Amino acid sequence: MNAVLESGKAVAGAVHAPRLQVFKWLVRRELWEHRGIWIAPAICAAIILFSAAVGHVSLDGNPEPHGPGLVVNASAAAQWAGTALLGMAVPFYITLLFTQLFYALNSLFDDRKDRSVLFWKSLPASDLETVLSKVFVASVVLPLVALLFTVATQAVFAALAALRVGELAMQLGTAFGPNAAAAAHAFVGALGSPQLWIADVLTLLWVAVGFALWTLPLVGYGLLVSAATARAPFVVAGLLVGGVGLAESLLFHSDWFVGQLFQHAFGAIVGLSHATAGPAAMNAHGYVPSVSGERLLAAVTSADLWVGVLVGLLFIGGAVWARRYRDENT
Amino acid sequence: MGTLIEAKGLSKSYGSARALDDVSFTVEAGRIVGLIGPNGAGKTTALKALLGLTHYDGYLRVAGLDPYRQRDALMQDVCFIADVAVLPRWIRVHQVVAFVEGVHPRFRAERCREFLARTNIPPKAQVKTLSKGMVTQLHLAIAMAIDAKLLVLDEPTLGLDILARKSFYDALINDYFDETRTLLITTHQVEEVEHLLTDLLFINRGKLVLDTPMDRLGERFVQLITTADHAAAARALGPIHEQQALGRFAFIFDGKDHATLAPLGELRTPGVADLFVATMQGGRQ
Repeated sequence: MNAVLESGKAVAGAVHAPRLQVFKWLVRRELWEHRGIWIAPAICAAIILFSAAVGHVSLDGNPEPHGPGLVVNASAAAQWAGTALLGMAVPFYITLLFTQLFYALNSLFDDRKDRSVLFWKSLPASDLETVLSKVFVASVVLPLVALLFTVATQAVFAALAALRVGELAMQLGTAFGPNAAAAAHAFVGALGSPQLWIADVLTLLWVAVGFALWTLPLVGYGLLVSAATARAPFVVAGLLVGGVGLAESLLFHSDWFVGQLFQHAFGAIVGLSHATAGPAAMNAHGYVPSVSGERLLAAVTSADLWVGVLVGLLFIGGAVWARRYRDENT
Repeated sequence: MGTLIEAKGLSKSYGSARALDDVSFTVEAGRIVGLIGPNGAGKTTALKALLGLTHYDGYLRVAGLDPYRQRDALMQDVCFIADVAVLPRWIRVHQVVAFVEGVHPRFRAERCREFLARTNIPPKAQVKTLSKGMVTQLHLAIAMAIDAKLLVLDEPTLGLDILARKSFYDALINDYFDETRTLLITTHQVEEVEHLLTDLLFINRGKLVLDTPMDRLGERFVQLITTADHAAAARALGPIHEQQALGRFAFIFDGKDHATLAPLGELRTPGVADLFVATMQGGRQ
């Protein structure tokens, strides 16, 4: 069998590995090299869970205590629980933003710095495939990893809350008076509702998709600088962005560029915090996913978002070109 | 087998410096070619052109492909070890073998693992924990397990001790090379490749100064070993190189009739190292 295959190969002349298989190995390679993909969210999870385990429950006025000795109904408890969970996601997505930028800026530069690019280039994986594998990691794998760590952290948090419901009741005593124990049990009960978790995961998925789309121009820019710069990708990337922002402010007395930059960097995270706060997220049946049709539509029809995606694709094209044709002259 | 590399009028400039200046040569399949020249002679530029890593002027075909335009297809047929220690430092031995197996249809992982089993390289070690010699062994084990039409080695033994250098070339010749393979080796350590080459290409200041099969070296070049009393006569015949040691004179002649030289002393085919020195110095005059 093997012999037949071998001779088949020889006759065919140009043999190719299935491109999907090559892509899979390129992505795996990225996961081997960049351990920060796991370490950054793991540290984030550890900090959150540590503070949840040793810290005190802070109500932060949300939900507003409805007067002394207030009664917590199921709906308020559900909103409280939903807010607690989604609030926990915010640090993960802020971490994600930085992991993404670091990854993009390093990923096409590190192997040029240590010259191992010559090894990668000696193998039959094209520069297009190589760059696309890095885009895939930055914009698909990283947001999904953030989502997984968020949900895992939320689950551990819910379990901790259930275990420490008595302690929670004591801490709630000041706000809820005689109803503290009921409030604590309502909160823990709400955390156990499957409806809440479905809504939570759907919201997070939506945020992950939004995140990937909003930050695509930043990822593309990072990859381009990473592929093209002779040294110090972080410095070069920062100086270029700072230079454009400064030039705009001096020439046109405006801050459109900086505004766009922040919108793309934090667009999805702002969306996430809206999802945690809106009273629209509540109804009589408890917590409702904030992925309402209206919000979906408003987000995907944003011209800024899609112009950003287009710019991102152009940058990625530039990165492929630089990876392919830059004469390393070593 | 046919022609594997065909270069016509290959040129490349970096600014005003001519790294390659109108270089033409062909390499037939099944040969072991040494591309030899001093540092900065254009060796690496020539290899980068052959591997599609740099733009060039002139005509160039490798395995029938235009290396710059058809680089992706070329990498199916050509394998290269660019330099010692260019394997990524973070990767583990078993990872790099699995990766190459995944992306290279002509890579036989079993063969690679056999080669590695003969070394002291731990399969789970990270490249950065290996010695320079081990990294080279690892890279060679990978390259030798690829069924490539052309294997290019650029200064493959640079920085290795003499034992590692010897075992590198032994493995290459005993376990890899046969008449279906073609090897292109660049080095400035001429002595250690001399006995395994079938063809010589000398390059100096971007120009090809010698292009000859090894077995025809003796037809063109002759070394005359003689004593002081014949030195003046020998010098009058226009040697391209003269060397004096322990009272004996060694002259190298290019294209001189043996019958003319024979009365003056002992004739032999010059070694590649002597010829290298002679040709490079000739280029400087």
